[in-house]
Amino acid sequence: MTIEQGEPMSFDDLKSKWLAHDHGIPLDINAELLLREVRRNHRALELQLWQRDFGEVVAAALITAVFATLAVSLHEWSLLLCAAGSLVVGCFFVVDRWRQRLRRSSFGDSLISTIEASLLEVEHQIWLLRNILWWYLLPLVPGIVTFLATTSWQASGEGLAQQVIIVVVGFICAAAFWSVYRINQREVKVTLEPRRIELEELRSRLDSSDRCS
Amino acid sequence: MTLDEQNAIFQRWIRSHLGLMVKVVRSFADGAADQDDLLQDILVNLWSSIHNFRGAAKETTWIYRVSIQTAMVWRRGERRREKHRSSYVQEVLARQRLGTNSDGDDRELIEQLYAAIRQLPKVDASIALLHLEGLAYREISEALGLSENYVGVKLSRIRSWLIEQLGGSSN
Repeated sequence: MTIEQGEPMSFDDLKSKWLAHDHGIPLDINAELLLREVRRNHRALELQLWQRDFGEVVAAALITAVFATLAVSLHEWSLLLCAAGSLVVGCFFVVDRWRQRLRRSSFGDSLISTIEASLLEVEHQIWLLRNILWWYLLPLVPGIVTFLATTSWQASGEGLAQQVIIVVVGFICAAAFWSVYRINQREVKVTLEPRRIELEELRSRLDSSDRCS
Repeated sequence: MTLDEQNAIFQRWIRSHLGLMVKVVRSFADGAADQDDLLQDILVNLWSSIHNFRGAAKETTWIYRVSIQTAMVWRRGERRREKHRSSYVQEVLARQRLGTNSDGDDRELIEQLYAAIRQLPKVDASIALLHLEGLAYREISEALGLSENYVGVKLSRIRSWLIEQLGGSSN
């Protein structure tokens, strides 16, 4: 009896057909090969996360070291402010990642705790990107502004061309900062907000199940 | 638990229950790429979750729970592991798409049923799938962390809706 043949079908018929159907599952699964690939996948994902965090920290440390070295070798002490800014960003990043790892939920817990953990993660990402100005961009601004102002003051007697170069460098920095800010706000709007709404809907469905009981 | 024990449990679950995971995948994801992506996620999460499995729940309940939890937070089109895909998982899914021994009518009906389940909200889709799999209300509520009362109320609506979609009667 199929749906096209006109005879009404009950849900129990449907359930019987579902249970009788083989769903095309292959019977000769090579579990050992699958295990090897899953473990490789697991290691690759862990490594990918570790590399991402490590990369950010190394980048912040390198930038700090470069600015500090330049400050000492060129006797340009305003660059120390840039180094301090990079250090602040790097430290914030390390502490934030460490705190987020502690909050991770594991699969197999209750469904609502998994969804709440995902929701917290997404909300935290939204918070980070919305506030990127304060924790990522602003710590770098005093150093850059002081460096440009000092350089401009030192080059005040060397003609207009030097001043123009400094202004252009200032504009390039401002444009780069603006782009970083805009790209991150767009990511919030296009990717993270819809995700948050989806997870909130799921959570509210589960909450309504609790009220129903 | 040692790594060898974890591996042995995973292999046993794969041999006995891969079908459950594939059914969850087909109930939540459409299209080869999405199905592949979701199954890869389920397998990795299942392997990681073995440490938390204390035997309080039945193995099948645990596998459904981890698979459905993964499917709930999985996001269509989000390719996180493009570079780390398991080619064997792709092969298993490709064989699954080709290989069914049931007759054409039933196959078509089951395909329509999967398509209808995918249209449901995720929580309802999970309830529908577990009910079709023959789990009792108590087992569904245990696997999903929902109250039995809620499962019962939801199921009567879901049954009617699914049968309406497939053009039958809901008795």
